[in-house]
Parts: sequence; C-alpha cells; structure tokens
Amino acid sequence: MTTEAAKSDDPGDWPTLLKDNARTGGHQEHSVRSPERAVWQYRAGSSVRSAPILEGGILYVASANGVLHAVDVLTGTAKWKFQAAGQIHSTPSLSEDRVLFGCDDGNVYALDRSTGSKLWEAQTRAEVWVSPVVRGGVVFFGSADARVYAVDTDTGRTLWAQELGGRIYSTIYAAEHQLYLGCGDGKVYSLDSSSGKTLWSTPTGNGIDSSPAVAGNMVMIGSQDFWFYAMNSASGEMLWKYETGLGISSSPAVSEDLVVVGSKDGFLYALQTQKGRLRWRTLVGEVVTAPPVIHDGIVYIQAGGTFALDCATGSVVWRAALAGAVQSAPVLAADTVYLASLSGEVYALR
Amino acid sequence: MQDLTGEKSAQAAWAKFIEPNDVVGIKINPSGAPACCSSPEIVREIITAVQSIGVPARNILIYDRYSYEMDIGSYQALLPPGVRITGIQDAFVDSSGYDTNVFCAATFFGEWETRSYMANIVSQVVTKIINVPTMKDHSASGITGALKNLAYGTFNNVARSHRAPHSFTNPLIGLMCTVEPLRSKAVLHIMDGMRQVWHGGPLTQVQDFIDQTGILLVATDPVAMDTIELEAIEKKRRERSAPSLWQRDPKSITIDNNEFFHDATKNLFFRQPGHVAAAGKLGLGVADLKQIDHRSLSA
Repeated sequence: MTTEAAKSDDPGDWPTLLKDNARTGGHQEHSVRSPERAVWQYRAGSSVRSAPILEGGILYVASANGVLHAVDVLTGTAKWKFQAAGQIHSTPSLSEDRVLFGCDDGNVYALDRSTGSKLWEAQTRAEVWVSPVVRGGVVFFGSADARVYAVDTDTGRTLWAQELGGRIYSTIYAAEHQLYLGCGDGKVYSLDSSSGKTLWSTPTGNGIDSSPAVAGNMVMIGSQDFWFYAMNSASGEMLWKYETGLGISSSPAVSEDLVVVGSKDGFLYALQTQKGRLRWRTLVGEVVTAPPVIHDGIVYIQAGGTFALDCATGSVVWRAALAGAVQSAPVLAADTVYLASLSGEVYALR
Repeated sequence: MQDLTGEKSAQAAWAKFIEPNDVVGIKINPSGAPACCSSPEIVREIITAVQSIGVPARNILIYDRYSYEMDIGSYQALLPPGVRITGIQDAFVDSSGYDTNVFCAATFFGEWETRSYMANIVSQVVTKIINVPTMKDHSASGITGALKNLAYGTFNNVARSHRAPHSFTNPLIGLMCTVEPLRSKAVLHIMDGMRQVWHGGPLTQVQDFIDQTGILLVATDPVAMDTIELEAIEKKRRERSAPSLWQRDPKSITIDNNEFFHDATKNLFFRQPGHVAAAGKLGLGVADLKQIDHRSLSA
C-alpha cells in the first residue's frame, strides 16, 4: 500500500496535515539515532500548540501569541517574524514560495516564505485551528464557523464555502477530486473538491478533531468516541474500527501496512491497515493528542516528552524528557531533530 | 432543573437564572482531562438550555484558566458553532487576562506577590456564571468542587497557597468566592459526577481511582453541593479502605508524585477539606448535612 501523497506530482501540493500520511512535513532524510545534545534552543515567547515545519533551512514555528517565526536552523535565530491579529493553533503548511496558516482571528494567512510579508488573507467567521492544505492550486481549510472553504492559492479569493454540521478542527485530506475531513458533529465527510458538495458522510459516536489519513481505498480517522475508524474512501462504508481507552484527537500516520495513532488513554496504537488488527501498543505518556511521525521504520511522538519507537515492535528506541506537546510533532532532518514544546521552547537536537 | 426550581417546564426553570440579554459564562473544569473533566456532552446540554431562553450563541462563553487544558479536553471541537471558548491564560506566567483592579490579597509562606487577580472574563465580560465542577478529591484542598472550581479557576497566583506538605486552601478558597462580582454572578452550580475521582485528584489519569458514578448534582448553594461531594468521596474512600481526607498522619506524606498517584494511602499535602465548612461560615452556603435540602432523582 502506498501513501496518497506520493501520487501528487505538483511540487506546490501539500495535501494533508504535515504534507503526507507519514506526517513528515515533507522531509525524507534522517539518520536514526538517539540525539545527544541540544545544538540550540529558541524561545518563541509563548506556548507552541502546533507542529513546526522545515523547508530550505528555515523552521516555521507558530506560537500561541500570534507570531509565526521563521527560524534559521543553522543559527537558531529568527530570520523574520510575522505578528497575526489572534492566537495561532494551526500547523503551518507550504506551497511553493508561500507559507500558510490559520489564526484565531478567523483568517488564513499566506506569507512570502523568504520575507514574511503578507501576500493575502482569507476570512472566515471563527477561529481556524486546522492546517491549510493545498491541491491543484487551491487551498482548502475548515473553520470553527462550521464551514469548509476553498480559496485560490495565488489570491486567497474564495472559490466556494460549504457548511457542515459542527465546528471543524480536523485538517482536510485533499485527494485528487475529493476532500476528507472529520467534524465536530461526529461525522466524517467526503466533499467534491471542485464544488464542496457532500459526496458522503458517515457518523461516529462523538465529535472529531483528528485529521484523516488516506491510504489505498481507505480513510482512517479517530473520534472522541474512543474509536479509530477505517472507511471506504469512495462510499464512506465502514471497513473496520478499533476501540482505544479514551477519545482520539491524534491524527494517524501511515507507513506501508501500518497505521499508528495516539489516544488520550496515553497509548500509541499500531494497527494493521487492512483489518485493523492491533500490532502493538505502547504507553508513551498520560495523554496523547499529537500526531505521530513515521520515518525509516521509526515512529516519533511528542506526549509528556518525546519518544522514538521501533515501528515493528513498539519498543522504545530513545526518549527525551522534553518537549511536551498538545499537537506538535518532531521535525526530522538529516542529523537533527527539531522539537517545539508547549512551554514555548524550540530545540535542535543532534 | 424543574425539581430544583419548582417550575413546570425546563425552560421556565432555566429562566429563573438566565435572561435573554445575559452574557453567560460556563465555568468548566478541564483540569484532569481527559480522564475526569467537565464532560463536553453535559456542557452541550447546558448551552442548549441557555439558548432556549433566548441567549444567542455569541453571548455564551465557555472558559477556564488554562487554555492548553481545554485543548486536551477537545472542547473546541465538541461544542456547537458560535459559542466562545476561551482560556484565561495561555501560559503559566501570562497575566494579560486578569483585572488589576480586582484582587484578593493574602500571604501564606512569605511570598513576594501576595495578590491574586480576578479574570477579566468574570469581572467585566459575563453577567451570569453557570459553574460546572467535577467530582474529585484534591491533594491540597481535600476535594475540588463548586467552590474551588470558582475560586482557583477565576483568580491567578493561587498555587502559592500550598507548599508541600502544608496547604492554606482553607480559607483561601472560600475567601475568593466571597469577592464580588464573582459571588453574585455565580447563580447555578451543576456538578458533573458522571465520573468520581476518589484519589489522585485533581490531575490523575489512573483509572483505578476513577469510578463511573453517573451522578449530576444541581444546586444554587455551592457549599451544600461541596458538602455532599465531600461525604460521597469520604464514603468511597472508606469502601476502598483508603484513609480519610481529614487524616493528618505525617507518615502519609510523600514527595514522590508517582507514589502519590498510585497509592491511595499517600498524599502530597495535609489536605484541607475544612475549606467547605469555612466557606459556609463566610456566608456562602450551608455546610451542615442535616440542614441541606438534598433530593435524589433517578433518570
């Protein structure tokens, strides 16, 4: 089974949370070994609720006080900062020369990646906590105003808006013609990406703030009803489900035939994608709400601290007692791991 | 609500407390999320009831002290569109959400900052507060219920009241609840006792000490509510052979958080369940079980 993101050839595409099903933020190379020291530490001045992303030697970090920081990874200093009008809980995304993020002021911002100057903003009626995704020149995102928006990547002009039944905190997965997302009304939706029309919706037992992964013909997503679901991506038919001990806010990561997701019961679960059978589960904290990242046979997760687990067995490869997070995920690049923490510290570990 | 008020309809019962032009604060307790916190499902029902009186969604504000704890509880995703969901402070040292004109001054351990400031949300924004505490023991105050949810969730700089193993949550909790306009705005208390933490509160995630009790307490008197909660948790601890919340044996004190979280005979502080009765003496309500009009309904 391959990840859907691999099917997109457009370098401007960023179709899901942290770009691909493995939640790598676009990065492919990383040497798997336990980091030994902090190369630098950057203070964002406020807590970091979302995941940083890395491109071209710049780490983009959103802090809750409304600042997007562009941090030079060589020096650990800010190249530029952009102050938005509200708090930021959104994980940034990239599309060509733009960095995109949502804000509590109801806007999605597009900034010039090299200078931090604002290119456009797209307005909604409530806070935007999701990560904007990009496919085929269109930016898609949901808002707490219960609407899904499609806007032009170049101008921010709204192409369509579609109202759903609840607040939207689930980042969209944008396939070639369909969008997939969860909603606060407890349903998983598939929308036509050209019109926003609902193609199917499948209910779960409670609201959803997990973001879906799409692999093969399956949409996989967690719900606050404690269950993790796999649905047919064409019809919404339930294929299998797996019950965890508490609600699921974590967004699943997929690699090969394994889907990994955290639960608020503190465990990280690895399930076989075809039938949902448990491969392993490992306790990594009191609560897990962040998305795992999978790279080269290792699963990384930030919970109370940061863990690297063997993908095959769930055994701990290394752990670091720092960088507790709500929604942040490690950024893996060459010989360095970048971690952003709830306390507002950003670390480069090598 | 009909039984509490004597009204013939639920809407009329809610109208005893809320008017259409009110800005309604719903004070939740996400501390301890996700294992035991104010259930979003119950908060949803309260929002529906408040809206039935004619209060628009934009005038309903769900709040607590720490926004990151609300994030963990996923309240943002689970509550209906339009209502505002706000943490008073983003980080531990963030004081921007507090009113410098309204404070409670006290000193306990010779601390430098002796003031605790009231949240702007309470002093300036909302006109009524519906208090939605949880049913939990508390390592420093004995229990956390209606009083503590109001007091320590409204004022900042409150952790200074307990320094292991000593706790001055009595009398600070009750004292803070007397400060206006908090006292007058808190009109209704709905305790989420669907889950009951009888050891390890307020933050435990250890399921061994969390019972599925399926109780809701509804009251206009926070002292009476907490008195009943205190009795319920004491009863549970007796059933489980755990020491009383009133116990003051120095041998029970530990400095090891992990030991505390997994051993019901251990605690971090000498607990102060007397804060409930002390609040009664401050005129906040009735702490004598014999004088409390406590009715039980089954659904």
